[in-house]
Amino acid sequence: MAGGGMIDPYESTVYLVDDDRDVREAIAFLLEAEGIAVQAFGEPGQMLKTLDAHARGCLLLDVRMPGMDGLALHQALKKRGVAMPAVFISGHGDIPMAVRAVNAGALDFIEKPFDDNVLLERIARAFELDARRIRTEAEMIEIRRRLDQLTPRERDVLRGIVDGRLNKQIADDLDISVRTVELHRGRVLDKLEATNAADVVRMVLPLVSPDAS
Amino acid sequence: MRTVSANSPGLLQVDWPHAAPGPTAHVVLLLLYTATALLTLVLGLDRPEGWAVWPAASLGAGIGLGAVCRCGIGMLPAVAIAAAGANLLSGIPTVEALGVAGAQAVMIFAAVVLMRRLRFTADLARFRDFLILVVFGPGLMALVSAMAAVVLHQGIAGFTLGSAARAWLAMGTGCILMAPLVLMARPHLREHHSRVGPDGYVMILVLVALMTTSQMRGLDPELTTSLSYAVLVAAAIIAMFQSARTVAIAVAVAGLAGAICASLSFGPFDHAADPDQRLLVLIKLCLTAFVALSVSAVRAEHQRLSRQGSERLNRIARSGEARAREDAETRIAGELNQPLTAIRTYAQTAARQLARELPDGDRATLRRALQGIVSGTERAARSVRPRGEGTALPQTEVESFVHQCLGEAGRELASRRIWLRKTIESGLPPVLVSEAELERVVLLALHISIELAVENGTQRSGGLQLDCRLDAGKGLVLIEFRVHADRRRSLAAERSPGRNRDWLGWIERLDRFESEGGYFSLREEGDQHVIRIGLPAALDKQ
Repeated sequence: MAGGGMIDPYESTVYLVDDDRDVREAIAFLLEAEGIAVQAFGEPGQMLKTLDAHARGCLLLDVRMPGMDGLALHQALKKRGVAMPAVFISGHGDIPMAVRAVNAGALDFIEKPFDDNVLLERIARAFELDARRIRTEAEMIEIRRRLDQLTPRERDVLRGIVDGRLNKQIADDLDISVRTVELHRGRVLDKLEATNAADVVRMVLPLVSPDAS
Repeated sequence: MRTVSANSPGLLQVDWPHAAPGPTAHVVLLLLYTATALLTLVLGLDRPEGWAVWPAASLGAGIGLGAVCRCGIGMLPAVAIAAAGANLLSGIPTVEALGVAGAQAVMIFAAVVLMRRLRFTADLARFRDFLILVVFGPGLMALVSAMAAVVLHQGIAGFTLGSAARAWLAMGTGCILMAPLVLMARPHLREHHSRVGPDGYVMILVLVALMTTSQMRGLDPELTTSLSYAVLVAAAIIAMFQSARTVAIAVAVAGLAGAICASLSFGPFDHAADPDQRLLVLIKLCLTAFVALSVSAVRAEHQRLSRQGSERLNRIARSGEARAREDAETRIAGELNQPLTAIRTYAQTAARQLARELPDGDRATLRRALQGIVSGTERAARSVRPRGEGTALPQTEVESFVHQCLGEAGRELASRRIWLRKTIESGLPPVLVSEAELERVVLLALHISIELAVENGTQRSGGLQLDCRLDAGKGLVLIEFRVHADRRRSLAAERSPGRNRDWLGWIERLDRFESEGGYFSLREEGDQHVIRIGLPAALDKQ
């Protein structure tokens, strides 16, 4: 493991795997010189043992390695809940495999030997994506927490709001008075800390859409 | 993914059974011959003077031919013995019976060889096999048998000294007349790589001699008849030992020789007394020559197409070799890229640090960078080996490449009367396959498609269909060749081990192509053979 030292688990870190020691150390050297935290591994297995779903930053994976290639490693990490963006670095003959990696969800691939500006730009972009991902995840957790505070009847009313139904229609559906619906609607907005129905839909929609994690 | 259906016919290849026939087969053959001979004698079907001719050509020889087809060439001695026994029953002299039996064995052998040249298959899976068995086999045997009979009964006795001298004169005249033609044909034969050795020229001259002699006047009519037979027998014998093209040219030359001789009005060729007969002979011989030359032209075209097929297979092989070289170069380049990456990264980092005008305390960092550059350079120097130009990124424009391949194959398709219907989606992305590899798989698919189209008579049933499209979901560019499948052909016939499926071996060697995300499949879908190539597309994901 190169470029080690104390790694802040909440700091964005580049997790690098390359079986070639020179390349590994050179990249780690570049990233450290730029003030980017890096954790480098010589074998995919080491990374699999180390990383978990809480890791932040990005993956920098060599495509062709003995034993497990970069693509398989990426898939294995995704199965373990490691959702960080992955950037592949590839030797000359690995382009088709790298493109398939991109098709399978990797952020990008860079052909060796690469320009340091390109590498740093990709890493910055990966960090940005990861930060956005973490923010989104945090928002989702918060929304779920707020949703958990709703009573069953308030959830029914919320479902009606999200479906775009009027108070009278919701009242007919639930067989309650319009006044009661208005009361529940106000409580839903309060508990979800929303200002209006559009705000509620914006918050809830990511949780009910098929792409929601 | 690789799918190869069992229903994959290739070029035909005759495979006669080679297993040694058992004693039961011999006994059955002997009984059949004897029973046939006895039945013929009892029913009085044959005139005594024709005994050596017709039973041999029809009943007995038919049994012999069937036995050889069924049990293999090893039955031939048994056929000769059975024929001798059957002929002895008729009461003819022993020598004559043995001669007839020997002639029968020879004619069956001749028929079998000719049938093999016509690609006869013993399983009778095709109508063509029946045709060959019914027409060519017995027809040729009848000719050989007739010749044997004429020689045995009349030939020597009818050939007097005077007629012999005239015959030699006719032969010599014919040969002298035809010699320039044969010499003119030589460069033509060379041009088409149909090598005719000295034996071939001797056979052609014999054929010419027989033909010219048959046009003589004043010979015994029986001898003239036997000479006419002899022309055909000589042509059949040439067919056994020479290429079909040589045979066609020999027949054409002999026909022209006969026509010239028939038009002469002096010496042994005095045809002036019977102008009508002379005209008839002239027309007949000219027609013979024309048909022979036509056969020659068709045969030459077939040979050319066959050569094209071979060349295509060679190109596929060369593409495979190019791919192997490309792989080696890629491995070397990949190995070289590792230290180069390290060197470049260290150097760039050092440059960045210098640009920032670091204080003296950071000189250690720069020293480390420089050490990295030095060690990386040393490693690069060790890795460098003399090699050719580096390979380009393996991206190929599939649309233009397919058009190029089809353009090259267009003439062959037209020659084979296979019409091509193509649908190529516009704006196809490039594929992540090198041009050498793409050439290999597309040529292979084209080769198999043409083979299947020819085998299935696709000229009459829909032609060859080519579709090129993008499967965006799978990130593949699909190239599909569709050929009509002949449902009448039995699967058992397709699976017969005698079929030449040389391209199956090529499909087996596509591992490298498949390991890089491509696939090659051959399967039946409905009434079509579908060859599908999937090529990884260079899609822009951004």
